[in-house]
Amino acid sequence: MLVAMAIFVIFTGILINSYMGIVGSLRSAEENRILYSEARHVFDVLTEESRNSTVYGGDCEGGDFGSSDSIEFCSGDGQSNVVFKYDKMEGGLYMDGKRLHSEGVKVTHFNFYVWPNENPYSSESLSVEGRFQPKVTFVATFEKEDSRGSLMTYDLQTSVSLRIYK
Amino acid sequence: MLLRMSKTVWNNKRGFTLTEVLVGVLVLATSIVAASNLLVSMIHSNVANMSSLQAYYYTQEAMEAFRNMRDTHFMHNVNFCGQSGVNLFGKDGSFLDGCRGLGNGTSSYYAIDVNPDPSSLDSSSSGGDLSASSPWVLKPVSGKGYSDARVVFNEDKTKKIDTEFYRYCEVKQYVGKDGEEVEDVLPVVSDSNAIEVTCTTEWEEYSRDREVSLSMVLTNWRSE
Repeated sequence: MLVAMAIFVIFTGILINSYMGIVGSLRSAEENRILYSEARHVFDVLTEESRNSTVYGGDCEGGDFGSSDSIEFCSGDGQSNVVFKYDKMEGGLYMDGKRLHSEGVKVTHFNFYVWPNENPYSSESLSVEGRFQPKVTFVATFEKEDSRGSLMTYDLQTSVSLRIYK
Repeated sequence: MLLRMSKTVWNNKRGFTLTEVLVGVLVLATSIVAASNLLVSMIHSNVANMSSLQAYYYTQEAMEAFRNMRDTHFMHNVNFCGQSGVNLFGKDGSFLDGCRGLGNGTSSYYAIDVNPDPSSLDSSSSGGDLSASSPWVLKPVSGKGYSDARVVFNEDKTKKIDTEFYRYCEVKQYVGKDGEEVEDVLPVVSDSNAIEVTCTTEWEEYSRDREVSLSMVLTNWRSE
């Protein structure tokens, strides 16, 4: 009888542990997938919107990249603009006021580097050192807490060479 | 036959021996552990997906760097691959050797670094060297360069973090695929005005080598 109970307890223990492990793993995998897809979405939007735009204003009265938490892109024809704004307190990245990712995913760090500082195609005063095709580099850190309370963190960085030649 | 076996099992009044039970439990435990391992490998593949995404964007960045350098060469009225004596992107200047080299069947590899704050550097350059104010640092590497090719994550303009990724690009003259003539694929350019840039990001994950590779054709469209 004792042997049978011991075997039963061992068997049940293995079963419960395995079940808990499987459930935890599935949940963790799901959360990782959420972080992956949302981080990818954010960067796809950033690169897509910036590629055929300019950061130097133009006809759409914008093109501001002076502040460290927002950047405005104007379309090549100057008819439309899009503003990306980073809210460090909330850990959110917004496009025209709309949050690009869910509440569960936080952008704990966001930065962008524009070069050159002035439009090389229209600035008469720009020295030869500043005559480079405009480009923007985006860096961001995405973070999500999983069900066990541990943080999943990923850094993403990419650059876009702007396709506007005027 | 099956009916007889079924009757034997259900009419077994003696029960099972300890050995039979232990074997049964062992088989069950093995199958559960195997299922758990499957899930662990699923988690690993999720992590691998994330690394692939990081590598993809690093590779794309290198491709954009080459496009950007070509366009900058246009602005300075030099060859789209660069020009001897005009060092816009580092000490060695341009990827001109890569463009030239492929004419005789060799190729050239380059590593790319991002300079997040070119304005902070000394731009009092001379002799055609403008690399101090360049947003990119281009370094020739021998083959698949490693120590020189480590990717740096530029958290801010001063804080650079070494990543686990290594990135290099191969530049060669575009020759078309499967015997195609370049003119058939790119009718507006001649063969000396098209290069193929293949950028690769490599890293090691769970003791396995992994890589992401992207390729594009850059043309000297201003020459036509």
